[in-house]
Amino acid sequence: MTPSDARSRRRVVVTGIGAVTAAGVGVESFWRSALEGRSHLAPANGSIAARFGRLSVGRAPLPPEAEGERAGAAAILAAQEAIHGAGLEVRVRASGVATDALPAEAGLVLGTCLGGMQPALGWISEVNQADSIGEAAPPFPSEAGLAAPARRVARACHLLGPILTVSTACSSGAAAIAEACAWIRDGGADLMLAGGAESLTPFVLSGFAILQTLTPGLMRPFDRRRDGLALGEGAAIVVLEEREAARRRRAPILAEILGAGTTADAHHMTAPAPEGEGLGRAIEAALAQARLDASSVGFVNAHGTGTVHNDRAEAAALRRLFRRNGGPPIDAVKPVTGHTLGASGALEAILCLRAIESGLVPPTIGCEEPETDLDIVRGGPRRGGMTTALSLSCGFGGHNAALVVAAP
Amino acid sequence: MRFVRFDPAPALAGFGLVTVRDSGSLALGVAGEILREDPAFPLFSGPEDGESRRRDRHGTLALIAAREAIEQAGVGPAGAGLAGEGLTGVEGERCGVVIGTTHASAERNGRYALDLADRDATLSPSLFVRTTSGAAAADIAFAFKMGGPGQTFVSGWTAGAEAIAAAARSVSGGTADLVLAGGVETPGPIFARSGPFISEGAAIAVVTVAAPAGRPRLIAYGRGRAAEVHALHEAGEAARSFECDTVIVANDLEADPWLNAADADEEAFVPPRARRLRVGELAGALGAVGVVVGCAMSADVPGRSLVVARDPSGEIAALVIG
Repeated sequence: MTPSDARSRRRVVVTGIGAVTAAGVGVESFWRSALEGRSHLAPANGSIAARFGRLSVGRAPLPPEAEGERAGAAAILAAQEAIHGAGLEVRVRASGVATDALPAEAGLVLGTCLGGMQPALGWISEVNQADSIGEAAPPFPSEAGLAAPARRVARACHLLGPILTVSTACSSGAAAIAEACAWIRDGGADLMLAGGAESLTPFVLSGFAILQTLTPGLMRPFDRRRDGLALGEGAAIVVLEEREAARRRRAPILAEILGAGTTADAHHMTAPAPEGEGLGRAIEAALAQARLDASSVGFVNAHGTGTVHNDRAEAAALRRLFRRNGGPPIDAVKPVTGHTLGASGALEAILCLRAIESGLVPPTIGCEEPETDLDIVRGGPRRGGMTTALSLSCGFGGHNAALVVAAP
Repeated sequence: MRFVRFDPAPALAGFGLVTVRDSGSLALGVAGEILREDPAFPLFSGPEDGESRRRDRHGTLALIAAREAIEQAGVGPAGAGLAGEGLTGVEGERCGVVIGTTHASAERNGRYALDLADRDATLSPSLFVRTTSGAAAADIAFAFKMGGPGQTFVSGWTAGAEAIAAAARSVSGGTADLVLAGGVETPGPIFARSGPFISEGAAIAVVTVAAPAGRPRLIAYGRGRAAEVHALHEAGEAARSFECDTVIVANDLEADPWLNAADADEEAFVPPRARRLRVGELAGALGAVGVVVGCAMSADVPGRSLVVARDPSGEIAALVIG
């Protein structure tokens, strides 16, 4: 047996899921809204709207006890739900309740686009202020910066393994799952949390506004009339385990991550490669790792931001992949919660898992006149017996990621 | 700390190192540049296309290091323009980019935030796009037409080592033939005003299976977390089990008690050659700089080296090279 054979025998399964979105705290609220085709976007008032015009946002209803920077706060809640769902708890001696404790080497890979940035900006403003009156600048605060949300989760959930943060713009959540899967497959860990987190800030809202990517009306992925996206916030976390280790502890095995692929467009900082070439390569890489061909894919969760360029490029990539009869059913879920940027890739991996589990593909809100002949699910949920789903993510800088999620 | 072995062990075929200090003083086989106080930044000049006009110091530094690494690896024509002109050895879907950084374009983020606070200011879309951390990886991928695996780690001071490890995994596992990997840090003056924290620099390596004989190889990667003195033990144990006779601690914080603990902790395994690396407070680039220096050392000294990058939070990333 060669070492690569030994590696390929290690398989990665999902044993817990958690999410916080505009639909509420918990995966269930998100999944129910996705199935019902209910959007939680609401008009944003205040100074951002006054300066940049009409826009909608998907603000996550964080409970009052959730403290501090919002990406980290949401990620803690999502991680707690995922850990609990996986039948793992931080063992409390006095409780006397027999539950599996988190393994000592349980780590976390969190993806974020700009989560943790807000406290860093506060610090920059303090430095400038100190400068102006000749005072010494304050030290960089430990709760600031992109790595801070992951560290907060580690502290809150008593994770003692490696804590990593990846940032590949809007594909960060999927890239984080890809990284954690690789780490488990290679034998570097038996259990990792992975996912993404993002917060709605004036920084992010204004940036997307000046890039003219925000819609003043409805998000309409793959619709002819689409004119942009709405931003959301939240977090999504999965518990990933090596399959045999999960079986040994009789963990609830919800799905298997069969493959992951990440690629660069090498094309442009904001615009996707026009024919979705980079995304196509990410799909090919993920399917190759899963040892599947396109005909095995039963359902596609598209990135589907509702921007003119993204949806066109993504449709082109999917059209090349599924040459016959429009291919499998496709949904784009972002109109439910808004585009949660660094969290979206992980959130949508969870959506794929629930779709396979329930045999239901959620509808794509706002898509009434599809521009493509791909099989975009519209109106209501579609029943299907799919066992394998493909989840796609694309980000600024041409960062693409694809995940293959399968029934256990 | 748990280690993963790379099999086959990929080679480090070439290096690019850019620091504010003259890396010539490190007696390395790699070139360096002194870049401080150089607003015009004449060292990089590619053909004038849209991307290169928008590129910032962060991306430019990464590109300089990347070009140097490619030239040293002999996989692209020396002195070729960085945009538009194909470097046949590195371009294509089997070639990727993985970067580690802590603060990425922090200066740009600060500038954008100041503009945002000023209601009369015009906000720049291209400035906003460059506030995302993946910008340097995107710049390299774009400049060299590398359409393979792409990833950016922002985990803190371990990020550069994580990037090189992820590249080694891609190459070793067969998903890429060649990956440019390393770290880049350009925190800008805002961090400089806040104490002896971080300066700027970049270190990029060409990670590939096919390389001329004699190039150092990446043997294993470990990741863990430990309190200060325990971290020293962990590193010592790793050095012992991988038979490393050199340990390079890529950490420039003189105040870091972990470094001082090396003398105090008598039980710690101390390899024959222990080096503390000081090439500037490079944060996310630290681990990658450590690997570059370690490889340069291994060219002169036989045996294996353990390169350790440690974040002040206690995160440790370690690479075994030899």
